Amino acid sequence: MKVKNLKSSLLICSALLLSSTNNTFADAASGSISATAAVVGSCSFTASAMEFGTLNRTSGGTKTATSTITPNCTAGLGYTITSGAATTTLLLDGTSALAAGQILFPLTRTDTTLTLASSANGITGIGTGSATEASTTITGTAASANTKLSGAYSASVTLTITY
Amino acid sequence: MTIKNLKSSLLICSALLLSSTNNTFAAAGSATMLASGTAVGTCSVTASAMAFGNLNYGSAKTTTSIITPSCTLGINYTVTNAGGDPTLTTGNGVGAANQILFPITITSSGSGGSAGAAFTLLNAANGYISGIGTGSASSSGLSTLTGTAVDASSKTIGDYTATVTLTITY
Repeated sequence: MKVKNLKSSLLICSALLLSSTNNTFADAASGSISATAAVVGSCSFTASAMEFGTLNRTSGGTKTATSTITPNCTAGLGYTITSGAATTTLLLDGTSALAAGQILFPLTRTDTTLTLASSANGITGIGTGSATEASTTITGTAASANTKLSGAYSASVTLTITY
Repeated sequence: MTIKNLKSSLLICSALLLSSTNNTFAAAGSATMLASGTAVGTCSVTASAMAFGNLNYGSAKTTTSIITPSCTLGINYTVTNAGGDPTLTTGNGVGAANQILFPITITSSGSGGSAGAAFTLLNAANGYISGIGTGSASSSGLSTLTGTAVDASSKTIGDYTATVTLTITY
Protein backbone atom coordinates (compact mmCIF):
# COMPACT_ATOMS: atom_id res chain seq x y z
CA MET A 1 0.00 0.00 0.00
CA LYS A 2 1.36 3.38 -0.89
CA VAL A 3 1.70 6.10 1.75
CA LYS A 4 -0.73 8.29 -0.14
CA ASN A 5 -3.31 5.53 -0.07
CA LEU A 6 -2.56 4.80 3.56
CA LYS A 7 -3.18 8.43 4.46
CA SER A 8 -6.42 8.46 2.57
CA SER A 9 -7.58 5.35 4.36
CA LEU A 10 -6.73 6.82 7.73
CA LEU A 11 -8.63 9.98 6.93
CA ILE A 12 -11.67 7.99 5.91
CA CYS A 13 -11.46 5.88 9.05
CA SER A 14 -11.20 8.99 11.19
CA ALA A 15 -14.16 10.54 9.48
CA LEU A 16 -16.22 7.42 10.02
CA LEU A 17 -15.17 7.31 13.65
CA LEU A 18 -16.21 10.90 14.21
CA SER A 19 -19.50 10.47 12.46
CA SER A 20 -20.42 7.43 14.49
CA THR A 21 -19.47 8.69 17.91
CA ASN A 22 -22.41 9.42 20.17
CA ASN A 23 -24.70 10.18 17.28
CA THR A 24 -28.40 9.37 17.41
CA PHE A 25 -30.17 7.74 14.48
CA ALA A 26 -33.86 7.73 13.60
CA ASP A 27 -35.80 6.00 16.31
CA ALA A 28 -39.36 4.74 16.61
CA ALA A 29 -41.97 4.10 19.25
CA SER A 30 -45.49 2.80 19.11
CA GLY A 31 -48.96 3.64 20.33
CA SER A 32 -52.37 2.22 19.62
CA ILE A 33 -55.97 3.05 18.89
CA SER A 34 -58.58 1.09 20.78
CA ALA A 35 -61.67 0.58 18.64
CA THR A 36 -65.05 -0.64 19.85
CA ALA A 37 -68.42 -1.21 18.26
CA ALA A 38 -71.60 -3.13 18.82
CA VAL A 39 -74.05 -4.87 16.57
CA VAL A 40 -77.41 -4.76 18.25
CA GLY A 41 -80.88 -5.84 17.33
CA SER A 42 -83.63 -8.19 18.28
CA CYS A 43 -86.30 -10.29 16.68
CA SER A 44 -89.54 -11.89 17.70
CA PHE A 45 -92.35 -13.41 15.72
CA THR A 46 -95.88 -14.69 16.06
CA ALA A 47 -97.55 -17.68 14.46
CA SER A 48 -101.28 -18.04 14.00
CA ALA A 49 -102.94 -21.30 15.00
CA MET A 50 -103.00 -24.08 12.41
CA GLU A 51 -106.62 -25.21 12.51
CA PHE A 52 -107.34 -28.47 10.69
CA GLY A 53 -110.94 -28.65 11.79
CA THR A 54 -112.45 -32.07 11.23
CA LEU A 55 -109.87 -34.45 9.87
CA ASN A 56 -110.50 -36.57 6.83
CA ARG A 57 -111.16 -40.19 7.67
CA THR A 58 -111.38 -41.22 4.04
CA SER A 59 -108.64 -43.66 3.21
CA GLY A 60 -105.67 -41.80 1.73
CA GLY A 61 -107.31 -38.46 2.18
CA THR A 62 -105.19 -35.72 3.68
CA LYS A 63 -106.18 -32.31 4.91
CA THR A 64 -104.23 -29.08 4.93
CA ALA A 65 -104.23 -26.03 7.14
CA THR A 66 -102.03 -22.95 7.26
CA SER A 67 -100.36 -20.72 9.79
CA THR A 68 -99.10 -17.21 9.18
CA ILE A 69 -95.64 -16.42 10.52
CA THR A 70 -95.06 -12.74 11.22
CA PRO A 71 -91.53 -11.70 12.20
CA ASN A 72 -90.76 -8.43 13.97
CA CYS A 73 -87.09 -7.57 13.70
CA THR A 74 -84.90 -4.52 14.04
CA ALA A 75 -84.64 -2.73 10.73
CA GLY A 76 -81.93 -4.28 8.61
CA LEU A 77 -81.40 -7.30 10.79
CA GLY A 78 -81.35 -10.56 8.87
CA TYR A 79 -83.30 -13.49 10.30
CA THR A 80 -84.12 -17.12 9.67
CA ILE A 81 -87.10 -19.02 11.08
CA THR A 82 -86.94 -22.78 11.28
CA SER A 83 -88.70 -25.65 12.94
CA GLY A 84 -86.58 -27.65 15.32
CA ALA A 85 -88.74 -30.75 14.85
CA ALA A 86 -87.92 -33.28 12.15
CA THR A 87 -91.53 -34.44 12.24
CA THR A 88 -94.69 -32.91 13.62
CA THR A 89 -97.45 -35.06 15.00
CA LEU A 90 -100.96 -34.39 16.22
CA LEU A 91 -101.63 -36.43 19.37
CA LEU A 92 -104.98 -37.60 20.64
CA ASP A 93 -105.79 -35.48 23.69
CA GLY A 94 -102.36 -33.96 23.14
CA THR A 95 -100.62 -36.89 24.83
CA SER A 96 -101.31 -40.20 23.11
CA ALA A 97 -98.42 -42.63 22.74
CA LEU A 98 -100.47 -45.01 20.58
CA ALA A 99 -99.91 -45.07 16.86
CA ALA A 100 -103.67 -45.03 16.40
CA GLY A 101 -103.73 -41.80 18.36
CA GLN A 102 -101.09 -40.00 16.31
CA ILE A 103 -101.46 -38.17 13.01
CA LEU A 104 -98.46 -36.72 11.21
CA PHE A 105 -98.76 -33.24 9.75
CA PRO A 106 -95.48 -32.29 8.03
CA LEU A 107 -94.89 -28.58 7.58
CA THR A 108 -93.87 -26.95 4.38
CA ARG A 109 -93.46 -23.38 3.31
CA THR A 110 -96.42 -22.48 1.20
CA ASP A 111 -94.18 -20.91 -1.42
CA THR A 112 -91.98 -23.98 -1.70
CA THR A 113 -92.21 -27.70 -1.24
CA LEU A 114 -89.38 -27.72 1.23
CA THR A 115 -89.83 -28.81 4.77
CA LEU A 116 -89.38 -26.15 7.37
CA ALA A 117 -87.42 -28.52 9.58
CA SER A 118 -84.09 -27.45 8.18
CA SER A 119 -82.14 -24.26 8.58
CA ALA A 120 -81.39 -24.43 4.87
CA ASN A 121 -85.10 -24.27 4.13
CA GLY A 122 -86.01 -21.76 6.78
CA ILE A 123 -87.96 -18.58 6.32
CA THR A 124 -85.47 -15.81 5.80
CA GLY A 125 -85.78 -12.08 5.55
CA ILE A 126 -84.49 -8.73 6.67
CA GLY A 127 -86.21 -6.84 9.45
CA THR A 128 -88.04 -3.61 8.79
CA GLY A 129 -88.54 -2.62 12.39
CA SER A 130 -92.24 -3.26 12.15
CA ALA A 131 -94.46 -6.10 13.27
CA THR A 132 -96.33 -5.76 10.01
CA GLU A 133 -93.37 -6.70 7.88
CA ALA A 134 -93.71 -9.42 5.29
CA SER A 135 -95.33 -12.48 6.73
CA THR A 136 -94.91 -16.01 5.46
CA THR A 137 -97.46 -18.77 5.38
CA ILE A 138 -96.61 -22.34 6.22
CA THR A 139 -98.79 -25.28 5.41
CA GLY A 140 -99.40 -28.35 7.49
CA THR A 141 -100.69 -31.47 5.77
CA ALA A 142 -102.42 -33.86 8.15
CA ALA A 143 -102.30 -37.49 7.09
CA SER A 144 -105.42 -39.52 6.68
CA ALA A 145 -107.31 -40.19 9.91
CA ASN A 146 -108.82 -43.32 8.41
CA THR A 147 -107.42 -45.71 10.97
CA LYS A 148 -107.11 -43.28 13.84
CA LEU A 149 -109.00 -43.13 17.08
CA SER A 150 -111.78 -40.64 17.40
CA GLY A 151 -111.19 -37.60 19.56
CA ALA A 152 -109.51 -34.23 19.76
CA TYR A 153 -105.94 -34.02 18.49
CA SER A 154 -103.45 -31.27 19.18
CA ALA A 155 -99.78 -30.46 18.96
CA SER A 156 -97.42 -27.66 19.76
CA VAL A 157 -94.61 -26.90 17.34
CA THR A 158 -91.68 -24.82 18.46
CA LEU A 159 -90.26 -22.55 15.83
CA THR A 160 -86.93 -20.78 16.24
CA ILE A 161 -85.89 -17.44 14.87
CA THR A 162 -82.17 -16.80 14.60
CA TYR A 163 -80.62 -13.44 13.80
CA MET B 1 6.35 4.51 -1.94
CA THR B 2 5.94 1.00 -0.53
CA ILE B 3 5.70 -0.02 3.13
CA LYS B 4 9.16 -1.48 2.94
CA ASN B 5 10.49 1.80 1.64
CA LEU B 6 8.53 3.66 4.30
CA LYS B 7 10.14 1.60 7.05
CA SER B 8 13.54 2.27 5.59
CA SER B 9 12.80 5.95 5.47
CA LEU B 10 11.69 5.94 9.07
CA LEU B 11 14.89 4.22 10.14
CA ILE B 12 16.89 6.77 8.28
CA CYS B 13 14.88 9.59 9.82
CA SER B 14 15.36 8.11 13.30
CA ALA B 15 19.06 7.91 12.73
CA LEU B 16 19.13 11.49 11.60
CA LEU B 17 17.12 12.49 14.64
CA LEU B 18 19.54 10.75 16.98
CA SER B 19 22.50 12.32 15.31
CA SER B 20 21.02 15.74 15.61
CA THR B 21 20.31 15.62 19.33
CA ASN B 22 20.73 18.99 21.02
CA ASN B 23 20.59 20.74 17.70
CA THR B 24 17.82 23.23 17.19
CA PHE B 25 15.92 23.42 13.93
CA ALA B 26 12.77 25.17 12.91
CA ALA B 27 9.95 22.75 13.65
CA ALA B 28 6.25 22.20 13.04
CA GLY B 29 3.75 19.82 14.52
CA SER B 30 0.16 18.85 14.32
CA ALA B 31 -2.57 17.52 16.53
CA THR B 32 -6.08 16.31 16.00
CA MET B 33 -9.15 17.71 17.64
CA LEU B 34 -11.98 15.21 17.94
CA ALA B 35 -15.43 16.69 17.70
CA SER B 36 -18.61 14.91 18.75
CA GLY B 37 -22.19 15.66 19.58
CA THR B 38 -25.42 13.91 20.50
CA ALA B 39 -28.84 14.74 19.25
CA VAL B 40 -31.28 13.59 21.91
CA GLY B 41 -35.02 13.49 22.03
CA THR B 42 -37.93 11.18 22.33
CA CYS B 43 -41.41 10.82 20.98
CA SER B 44 -44.50 8.97 22.04
CA VAL B 45 -47.99 8.91 20.64
CA THR B 46 -51.43 8.41 22.10
CA ALA B 47 -54.77 8.06 20.39
CA SER B 48 -58.29 8.54 21.62
CA ALA B 49 -60.60 5.54 21.40
CA MET B 50 -62.44 5.01 18.16
CA ALA B 51 -65.90 4.30 19.52
CA PHE B 52 -68.46 3.44 16.85
CA GLY B 53 -71.33 2.76 19.19
CA ASN B 54 -74.12 0.74 17.63
CA LEU B 55 -73.40 -0.05 14.01
CA ASN B 56 -75.87 0.38 11.19
CA TYR B 57 -77.69 -2.19 9.14
CA GLY B 58 -77.58 -1.34 5.48
CA SER B 59 -75.07 1.48 5.73
CA ALA B 60 -71.61 2.28 7.01
CA LYS B 61 -70.84 4.23 10.15
CA THR B 62 -67.92 6.53 10.84
CA THR B 63 -66.12 7.73 13.92
CA THR B 64 -62.85 9.47 14.63
CA SER B 65 -59.76 9.21 16.76
CA ILE B 66 -57.51 12.09 17.71
CA ILE B 67 -53.81 11.33 17.43
CA THR B 68 -51.62 13.17 19.89
CA PRO B 69 -47.87 12.93 19.42
CA SER B 70 -45.63 14.12 22.23
CA CYS B 71 -42.14 14.90 21.05
CA THR B 72 -39.11 16.77 22.24
CA LEU B 73 -39.00 20.32 20.97
CA GLY B 74 -37.82 20.46 17.41
CA ILE B 75 -37.94 16.77 16.62
CA ASN B 76 -39.53 15.79 13.34
CA TYR B 77 -41.94 12.90 13.67
CA THR B 78 -44.07 10.73 11.45
CA VAL B 79 -46.97 8.57 12.61
CA THR B 80 -48.00 5.60 10.49
CA ASN B 81 -50.23 2.57 10.79
CA ALA B 82 -48.30 -0.62 11.50
CA GLY B 83 -50.82 -2.73 9.60
CA GLY B 84 -53.50 -2.73 6.94
CA ASP B 85 -57.22 -2.05 7.11
CA PRO B 86 -58.24 -3.02 10.64
CA THR B 87 -61.05 -5.38 11.58
CA LEU B 88 -63.42 -5.34 14.51
CA THR B 89 -64.09 -8.83 15.81
CA THR B 90 -66.46 -10.51 18.21
CA GLY B 91 -66.45 -13.92 19.84
CA ASN B 92 -63.66 -16.07 18.46
CA GLY B 93 -63.27 -13.67 15.55
CA VAL B 94 -63.45 -16.52 13.07
CA GLY B 95 -65.62 -16.19 9.99
CA ALA B 96 -66.99 -13.22 8.11
CA ALA B 97 -70.02 -12.98 10.39
CA ASN B 98 -67.73 -12.17 13.32
CA GLN B 99 -65.60 -9.62 11.50
CA ILE B 100 -66.32 -6.03 10.53
CA LEU B 101 -63.79 -4.03 8.55
CA PHE B 102 -63.24 -0.39 9.44
CA PRO B 103 -60.77 1.16 7.02
CA ILE B 104 -59.09 4.28 8.39
CA THR B 105 -58.40 7.45 6.43
CA ILE B 106 -56.60 10.61 7.37
CA THR B 107 -58.86 13.52 8.19
CA SER B 108 -56.16 15.99 9.18
CA SER B 109 -52.54 15.04 8.99
CA GLY B 110 -50.63 17.83 10.66
CA SER B 111 -47.88 19.18 8.44
CA GLY B 112 -47.59 16.15 6.19
CA GLY B 113 -49.51 13.31 4.64
CA SER B 114 -52.59 13.63 2.52
CA ALA B 115 -56.07 14.21 3.87
CA GLY B 116 -58.34 11.43 2.69
CA ALA B 117 -55.48 9.01 2.12
CA ALA B 118 -55.80 5.46 3.37
CA PHE B 119 -54.02 5.09 6.70
CA THR B 120 -52.29 1.78 6.08
CA LEU B 121 -48.73 0.55 6.15
CA LEU B 122 -48.97 -0.20 2.45
CA ASN B 123 -49.95 3.38 1.77
CA ALA B 124 -47.54 4.89 4.29
CA ALA B 125 -45.99 7.09 1.61
CA ASN B 126 -49.19 9.16 1.58
CA GLY B 127 -51.14 7.94 4.56
CA TYR B 128 -49.19 9.36 7.44
CA ILE B 129 -49.26 12.14 10.01
CA SER B 130 -46.21 14.27 10.57
CA GLY B 131 -45.05 17.36 12.40
CA ILE B 132 -42.39 18.90 14.56
CA GLY B 133 -42.34 18.38 18.28
CA THR B 134 -42.91 21.29 20.59
CA GLY B 135 -42.15 19.51 23.82
CA SER B 136 -45.79 19.33 24.71
CA ALA B 137 -48.32 16.60 24.13
CA SER B 138 -51.03 19.04 23.22
CA SER B 139 -49.03 21.48 21.16
CA SER B 140 -47.29 18.93 18.99
CA GLY B 141 -50.33 19.16 16.78
CA LEU B 142 -53.58 17.28 16.91
CA SER B 143 -54.40 15.11 13.95
CA THR B 144 -57.56 13.19 13.30
CA LEU B 145 -58.21 9.81 11.74
CA THR B 146 -61.60 8.62 10.56
CA GLY B 147 -62.66 4.99 10.74
CA THR B 148 -65.53 3.72 8.61
CA ALA B 149 -67.18 0.54 9.82
CA VAL B 150 -68.93 -1.31 7.03
CA ASP B 151 -72.60 -2.31 6.98
CA ALA B 152 -73.41 -4.59 9.92
CA SER B 153 -75.94 -6.65 7.99
CA SER B 154 -75.40 -10.38 8.41
CA LYS B 155 -73.01 -9.81 11.29
CA THR B 156 -73.24 -11.51 14.64
CA ILE B 157 -75.05 -9.61 17.36
CA GLY B 158 -72.62 -8.55 20.06
CA ASP B 159 -69.76 -6.30 21.09
CA TYR B 160 -66.81 -5.87 18.77
CA THR B 161 -63.28 -4.69 19.54
CA ALA B 162 -60.03 -4.03 17.75
CA THR B 163 -56.62 -2.52 18.40
CA VAL B 164 -54.73 -0.56 15.78
CA THR B 165 -51.00 -0.29 16.35
CA LEU B 166 -49.39 3.01 15.44
CA THR B 167 -45.73 3.67 14.83
CA ILE B 168 -44.13 7.03 15.48
CA THR B 169 -40.76 7.49 13.82
CA TYR B 170 -38.45 10.34 14.78
